[in-house]
Parts: sequence; C-alpha cells; structure tokens
Amino acid sequence: MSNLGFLAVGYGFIWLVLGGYVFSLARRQSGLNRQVDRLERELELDREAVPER
Amino acid sequence: MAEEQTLKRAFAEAPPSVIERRGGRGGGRSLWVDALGASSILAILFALYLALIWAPTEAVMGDIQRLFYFHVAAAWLALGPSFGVVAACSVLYLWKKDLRFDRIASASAELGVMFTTITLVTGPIWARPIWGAYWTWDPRLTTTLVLWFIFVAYLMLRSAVDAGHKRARLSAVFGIVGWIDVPIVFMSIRWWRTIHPTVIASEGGGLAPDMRLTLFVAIGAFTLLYAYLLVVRVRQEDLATRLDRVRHQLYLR
Repeated sequence: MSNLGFLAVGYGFIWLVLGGYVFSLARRQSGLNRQVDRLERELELDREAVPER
Repeated sequence: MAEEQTLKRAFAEAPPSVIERRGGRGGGRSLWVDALGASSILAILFALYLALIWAPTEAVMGDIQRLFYFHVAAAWLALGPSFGVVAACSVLYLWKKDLRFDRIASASAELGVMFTTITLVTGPIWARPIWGAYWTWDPRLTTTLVLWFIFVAYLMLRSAVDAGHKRARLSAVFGIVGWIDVPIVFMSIRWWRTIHPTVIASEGGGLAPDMRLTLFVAIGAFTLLYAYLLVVRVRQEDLATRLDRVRHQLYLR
C-alpha cells in the first residue's frame, strides 16, 4: 500500500469511529425521547383519572 | 391520601423537568451546547484543511506524517482531559457522594476509550510504512494498550453492576487506580528505551512552525469536540436518571 493509501485508511478509521459514536448518541437520545413520550402519556392518563382537589 | 399526594407530586414535578432536560421541546434546548457543537465541527474542518492541504509534507516520511496531527490530538484527549476528568470526578464522588460526578466520570471514560482506540489504531497505520511493522512491544505502545484495557474493564464493570452508590463507589476506586497508568504512559518514553518519537519536549519537539500550528489547531478542535460530546452524554445520563426516578415514583403509588 502506498503512503497515501495508509493515510486514507488512518483518516477513514478516525471518522468511522467518531461517526459511530455520534450515531450511538443519537440512538440513545431517540430511545430516551420515546421513554419521555410514553411517560408523558401515562402521566396524562393518570391526571385525567385523578381529579384535582 | 398518601398515594394521591405522591401521584400529585409526580404530576407537579416530573413533566416540566423531563421536557426541559430532553433538550428538544418546551424551550429547554441550550443554545450554548448547539454553539459548542457547531464550533467543534468548524474547528475540525479547519484542522483537516491545515493537516491535509496547508501543512508542508514531511521530507523523510512523506504524506503519511499527516496522520500525526489527529493521532497526537486523540492521544492528548485520552491522556489529558478524558481520563483526567474520570480521576477528578471519581475523587469528587468519593468526597461528596454526589452521583452526578459518577455520571460525568463514566461519560468521560467512554470518550477516553474512544480516543485511545483512535490513538492505538492510527499509530500502527502510521508505523507500518515508517518502522516496517504495525506493532512493536515498545513501552509507549504497551502502556497505552494497558490503559485501554483498564478503561474498557471500567466500562464493563459499570455495565455489570446495578446503578447506584455501590456502582459509583466501585467505579470511582477503579477510575482512580486506573488513572495511575496515565503518567506511566506519558513518562514511558523518558524512563525506558523506545523508538516512539517525543512530541512534547522541553526543547520544542523539533516541529516546523507550520506543523506546530496545525497540531495545536487539531488539538483545539478535538478538545472542543470532547467538551461537546461530554455535555451531550452527561445530559443523556441525567435524563435517564430522572426518568428512572419519576417512573419509580409513579409505580410506588
């Protein structure tokens, strides 16, 4: 492999790792958002079930 | 009566704080975090331009030397801020018993492992055309590999123990003991015979001014990226903890 080939592999690996980590953060965030939505729905249902004094 | 009060407390406290923390609704999104993310992207693009186009080609090694800028930046991020924050927050947790320090330490360890992985892979890619081998059991390489194993074990330990003060205590002790390898990695090229070049030296490291500037820009760009990713990751952990607490409160009623 030429010098430039090694350079391309090196930089490719760096952005692959960083991109993979950012992707995993985005997945975790959407999972958390789904949990928040579910919890908000549950709270809304409970709010309707328990009348305010 | 008590059940009703618990439920009302959950209604009163949970939804606004949850919405505020999720960072996408209800005006809770932080402008400074977005600005940090945008500036880290711009800084990385600028550093890439400097490293790949602007910086002069090294006379002996040729273009492969351009890997140096991000290899050193990743090593700096791992050894300096990432594992430094793990150790500092571990000490703070043991002192204050505040689980937020534990969450910051775990987020920083995750980033430290990522930056160490980049260092450990880009180093051999650079070494192959220069040294003629991907890997040698050189003290710098070996101690860095040991550091990587230590913090992978730290993350595995965290995933094996239930969240709470027990996990935080174990992690804090592990994080502090594991950090001891950081000065050993740094000093390895001074203590033992090595073929690894010295980048940070009292004489200036022998870098041309343009190369030194490019290196500092790459380090700055990666430091901004680290800060941004750390903030995002810690916020996610805070939100997950808050969600667990609210859910626990609701199921207890």
